[in-house]
Amino acid sequence: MTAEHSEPTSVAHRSTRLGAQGEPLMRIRDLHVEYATRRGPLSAVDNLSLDIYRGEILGLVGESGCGKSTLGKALMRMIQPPGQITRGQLIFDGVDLMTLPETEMRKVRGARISMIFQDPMTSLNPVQRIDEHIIEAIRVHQPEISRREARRRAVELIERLGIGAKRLEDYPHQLSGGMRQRVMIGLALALKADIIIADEATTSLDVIVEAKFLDLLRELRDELNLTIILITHNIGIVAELADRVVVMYAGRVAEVADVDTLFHYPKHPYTQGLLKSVPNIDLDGDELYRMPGSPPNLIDPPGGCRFHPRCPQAKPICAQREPALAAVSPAEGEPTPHSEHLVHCWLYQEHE
Amino acid sequence: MILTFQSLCIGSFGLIGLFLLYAIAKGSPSLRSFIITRVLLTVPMVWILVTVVFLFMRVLPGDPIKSRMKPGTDPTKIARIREQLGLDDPIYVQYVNYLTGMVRGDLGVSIVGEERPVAEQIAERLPATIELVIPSALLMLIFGISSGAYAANKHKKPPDVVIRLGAVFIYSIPIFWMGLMLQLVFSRRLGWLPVAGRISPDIPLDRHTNILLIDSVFTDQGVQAVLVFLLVFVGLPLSRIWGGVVRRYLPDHPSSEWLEVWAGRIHMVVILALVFLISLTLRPNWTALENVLKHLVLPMVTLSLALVGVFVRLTRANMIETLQEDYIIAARARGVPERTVVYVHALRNTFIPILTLIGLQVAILFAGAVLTETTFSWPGMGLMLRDGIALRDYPRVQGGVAAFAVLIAITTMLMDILYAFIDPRIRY
Ligand SMILES: Nc1ncnc2c1ncn2[C@@H]1O[C@H](COP(=O)(O)OP(=O)(O)O)[C@@H](O)[C@H]1O
Ligand SMILES: [Mg+2]
Repeated sequence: MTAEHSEPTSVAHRSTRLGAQGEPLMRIRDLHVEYATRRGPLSAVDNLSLDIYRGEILGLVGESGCGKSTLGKALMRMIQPPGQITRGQLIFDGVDLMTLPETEMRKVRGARISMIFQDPMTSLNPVQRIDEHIIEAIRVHQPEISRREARRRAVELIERLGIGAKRLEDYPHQLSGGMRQRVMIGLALALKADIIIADEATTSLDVIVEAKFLDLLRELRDELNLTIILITHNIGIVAELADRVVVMYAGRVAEVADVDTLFHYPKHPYTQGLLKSVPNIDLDGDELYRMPGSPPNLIDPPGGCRFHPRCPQAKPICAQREPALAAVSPAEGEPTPHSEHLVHCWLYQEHE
Repeated sequence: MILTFQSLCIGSFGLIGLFLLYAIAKGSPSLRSFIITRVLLTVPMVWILVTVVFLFMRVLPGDPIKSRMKPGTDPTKIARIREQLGLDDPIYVQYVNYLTGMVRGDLGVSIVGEERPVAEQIAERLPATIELVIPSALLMLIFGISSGAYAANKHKKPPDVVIRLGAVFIYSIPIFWMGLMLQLVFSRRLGWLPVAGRISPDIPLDRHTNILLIDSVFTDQGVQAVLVFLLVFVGLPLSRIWGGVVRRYLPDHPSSEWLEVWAGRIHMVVILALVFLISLTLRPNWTALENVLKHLVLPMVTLSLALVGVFVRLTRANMIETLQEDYIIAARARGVPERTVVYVHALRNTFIPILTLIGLQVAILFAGAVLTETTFSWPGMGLMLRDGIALRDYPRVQGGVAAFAVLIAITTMLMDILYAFIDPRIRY
């Protein structure tokens, strides 16, 4: 882990956003996260490996309870007890974050990886003014910056996000939900973090504010070459914004593909079910598809593929052994995907 | 001599008034109207309180006159005394007299022993009670809040368990028993501290204010006291204006940036240096000061222990809750150091509900003061009340309780306003 910021990559690099080319900004390997519960350990993230590339917007979707937030927090080592990262590597910019002492990890949080939380109403300190929030965020990591300079940056930042500088003197409750969420982005951007994790960041906003917020995210990504991990259960947002999509099920990755491929040619039965159950206004009153069953209890998950009890195409092997997360090639007549298409399913793998 | 109890009272009320004006001027319109309503509401509140005291005194069993006369006293003599005291008037006349007297600061005259005006007795006793209550409240707050916050930070670990059990234990001890035990151990057995009273009778000390700590520090002219008071309460807060002044009137330049930060600090240092210089001209009465402090320790500890349990538990519970809040987790995710997260962000939010509790506990604090004064023969209002009750000195009890009621009403009002002032979320 290094203290110096790596320069934002050039525009040339950005065009490769969709490809799995280049060195990943973050490599997650064999990540396990468990929550200690009264009825035993709950495996919320199980043996998860994933690469994240600079400049991409990575959608992370799945039913609630499948471990999206846990994964997001784990990337910053922000899992609170009773949770714990029990195993795995988080190689960020060449350094395994898991090996860093807490004091070093603190320097990564907010400065290099930031998080935008779900509820902008409760994520700002009610007795702290907006400018104090931003000044603190800057000075915690760069104490050599004077308060005045930090304030000047806060003004710049907040105006960039479309909020008047006068609002800096306000307390959080004086701002609207949309403004607060923009302040949250401001806080995440205050130090030009490389990765921004937005966990259900628009859930509490109304549609119009949400749309503006998403536009803003995209603009900022284009302008600053940010890497954004967009955690959501709203498939529509992902379709709209993400470059690549990770579908999670029961603490594991079910499928990874670029957004076009995933939406047009989903491979995993879970992804297919998930896409079918998205409401569509064009539909003429058709019953919405409802996936049978519900996500498993992660204290005692099903063996083999965790999806097999709900899977319409399950085979005997599915209950016995876990498939690998392996690349699939496009079927006849399907275009070549823009990035590696990975599926965690026996349907696409050889077995005896 | 400028420094008297009266001038102290005027000074404190002046400060309170300044604070209220400041809050009204600076606050939002809603805060402004809240403050004004709250201040105005205190008047009917005090009125209800003194009325309750009045009615309560009338329904108490026992006849104050008969009980102090020898049996077989001439009934005409009793009747004459009753008339003198106005006790044979219809109750509403008595009530009106009582209220009008109170407005004029006349609380009647003791009918037992030395027949002195009750207001005069209160003025004499109040400083002692204040000298007991304020240090006890401070001790309790500092101790209660810090150990509560510490326990919350060590949630479910051994220090938390120890503090929690300790708080329950202390809370469940009756206050007079605690006082007696402390007396037994520290005064009788160990002989470290005096058993009772405020000061040994053989120590000479001029009483200007009758708050003995102040009297023994400021032995001669009160000028220094007034200067120190002004410097600390007016001069120190003024150091905050520099940031604004520099920002507004000086050009953007590195040196003005330097000034913005340092002008305030230099200002503070100058003020503190002045306070220090003034303190050099003081001629404190060291023997008296030491003696007074020694007398203060046990009653102060007793009274603060009586209430500290509540504050420990409240701070702890609130803090544990606050530490789960999203904004705390968000602050951590921003890389704010854990210590700042806990002792700045969380504690600042925890402090607000605590402030309301202080307001609610003021009444209990004064009740505790009565018990503590009784245990330690501390010649304050509590002891005065106890004696009044024992002697059935009607006016004295009535006046004393009414004075307590007014004190409590004012303190509660101030706490409410401070709460509204500090918490930016409060909108009435
Ligand atoms: N603090 C916790 N204690 C115990 N279990 C938890 C805790 N937080 C999350 N979990 C469990 O971990 C799993 C994943 O949760 P989460 O990451 O919040 O899912 P998502 O964000 O996808 O809805 C769920 O089964 C949830 O019950
Ligand atoms: Mg979640």
